[in-house]
Amino acid sequence: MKINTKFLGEIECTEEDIVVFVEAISGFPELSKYIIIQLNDDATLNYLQSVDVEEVCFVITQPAALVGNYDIDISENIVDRLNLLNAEDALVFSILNIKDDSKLMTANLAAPIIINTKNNKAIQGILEGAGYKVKQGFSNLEELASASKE
Amino acid sequence: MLVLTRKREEVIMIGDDIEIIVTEIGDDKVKIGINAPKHLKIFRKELIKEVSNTNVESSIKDKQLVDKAKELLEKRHI
Repeated sequence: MKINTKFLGEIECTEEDIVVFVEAISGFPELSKYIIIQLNDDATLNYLQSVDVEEVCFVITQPAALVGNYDIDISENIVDRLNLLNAEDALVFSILNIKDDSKLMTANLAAPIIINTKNNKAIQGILEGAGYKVKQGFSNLEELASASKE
Repeated sequence: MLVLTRKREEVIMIGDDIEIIVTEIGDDKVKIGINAPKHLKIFRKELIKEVSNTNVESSIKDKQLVDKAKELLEKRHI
């Protein structure tokens, strides 16, 4: 099947490439289907492109690449909704909020995108009380990374 | 809206299996404990709003921003 993307024009993908959100990403109701398009060689940066609305595209990153030890508890509610049987099946991403001034770029560590790689079901989970920020700046990421490694 | 007065450690039940407990009372804030079935989502309302607003802000409008992110992450040797 062909999908129109915001930055890469028309691309070819298969049904298996499509990630289905069991709950729409908040702020984007009614959009449940997305594809992930790798942006760099090691897949630390990716597009999360809506299948249905070309204009809707995020840049997502693997939070472990930012903070080293990104340890999260996936709630029972999310485990059930994604039919997540093993923790290893979960793929976790953070949405980047990129600004013209790169110093203001942030990553959403408090509400990661969690994907069950076994069935491609996804959800944006909110981690309440985990100490992560919705807008985690990059300037103090080093501190966060070293703190989590201790 | 139902408004109830509670003292420290007093409990309110919602339905059969949700308990709301006032655990600490300060000058301008209270700490509340919640026992509820695991399938229920419990979040501070402002956190939900912040996530939603940030999602909308994060939807990429301009290809240049993507290049910025790449550049910044490469600088960090990720």
